[in-house]
Amino acid sequence: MGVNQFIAQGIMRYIINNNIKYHEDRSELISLYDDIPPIVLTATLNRLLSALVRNNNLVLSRETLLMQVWEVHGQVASGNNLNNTISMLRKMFASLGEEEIIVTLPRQGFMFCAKQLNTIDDESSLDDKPVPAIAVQPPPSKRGWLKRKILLAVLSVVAVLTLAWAMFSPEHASITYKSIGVVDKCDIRAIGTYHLVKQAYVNLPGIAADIKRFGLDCSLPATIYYYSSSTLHNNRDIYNSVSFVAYCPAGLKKNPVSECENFYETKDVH
Amino acid sequence: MKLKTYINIQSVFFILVLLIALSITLFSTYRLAMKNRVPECKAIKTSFTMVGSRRFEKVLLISIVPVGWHKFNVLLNGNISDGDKKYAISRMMVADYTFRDGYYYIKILENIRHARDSTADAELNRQLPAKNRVYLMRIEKVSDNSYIFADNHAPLFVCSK
Repeated sequence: MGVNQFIAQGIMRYIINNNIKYHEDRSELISLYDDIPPIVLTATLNRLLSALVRNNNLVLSRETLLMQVWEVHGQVASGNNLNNTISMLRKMFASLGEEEIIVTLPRQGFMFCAKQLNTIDDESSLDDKPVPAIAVQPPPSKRGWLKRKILLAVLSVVAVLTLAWAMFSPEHASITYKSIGVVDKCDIRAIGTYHLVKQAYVNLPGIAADIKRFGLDCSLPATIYYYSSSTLHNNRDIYNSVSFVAYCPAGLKKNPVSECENFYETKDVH
Repeated sequence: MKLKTYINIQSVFFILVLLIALSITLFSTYRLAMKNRVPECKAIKTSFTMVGSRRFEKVLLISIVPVGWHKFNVLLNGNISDGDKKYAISRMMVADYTFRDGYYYIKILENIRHARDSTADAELNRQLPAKNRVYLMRIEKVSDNSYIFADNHAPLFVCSK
């Protein structure tokens, strides 16, 4: 908040932490609960407190305070003056039960830290009864902010990583196959989900015979996914050998494989 | 009397970013959980099986319908021939599954036979999935709308959406 804004604002009355009433116009601090006489502020103390209260939870630099409180009013500004005045304000607030309401931020300045701060701009409310306060989110301490920033950073990283994982990991693994030849217009692909197919054991004329036996039409373009346990070894007398053919006629460009017909054959050979 | 409340902009920003990060994480987790679902699809499968001297020929329309969290129904309709004799198959199986390391561990929870299902023979029923049997399966993508189901012995069928 700049000087002009500070000056432009009217004189206000505040309820600080629902405990102290600050009459800026009367330069007084009044306890709302304890029956003690009001603390009267000097003009300088009043200007300093006003600047701090109006910037609750904001850091005010030493330079800003020196200018607003001293220089603008034709007074000599010095660091010692500022330190002494801050110290006096702290003592006043401490006597009213607010020990650490003015925070020094090294090399930055000062900050007024009221958890609840309400302004009263209606004369009718100027009796000395406590005003029900609206809860304001108390600003976290410096350490609290650090914790929040770390939490935010960790959560952001987790969010980005899970999003990347969700977007780029495949929904299902793609089929593993090896093209082993063509029969008429059928592209024969040996399925290798579990085992690599040995080309030496591939019997293309045998596959062509199976295609014919199953009544499949290879005069039109189609893809045949083929599997035979005999492609894994050269022992033709293996017990319970399996052949599998999935005949998938060529579809549209958008969907190159249309609905497939499946043939599964086991031979119980001893 | 009017009261003015001072809103801490940094806190609002913190809560906003926190909510966005949590929303993204929840959305991504949901997407990941949905990724390895058993797909909804159907297939036509003809099987020829030799058991001793008996030869079974089975023609089935298989429909897989996911229902609920990690559950699906398998609708089987068709027929099975045992030599000259032919029997109708019409049943629904309720299965649940877990997905681990690329494999689906599928357990048949229920086997509901419809009235027109006429397979009474034990050997015939052995040719079909049965209650409490567990299957280890892989599901791989053939195309944008087709998947291949394979057990640890051989591929079983290619189904399409």
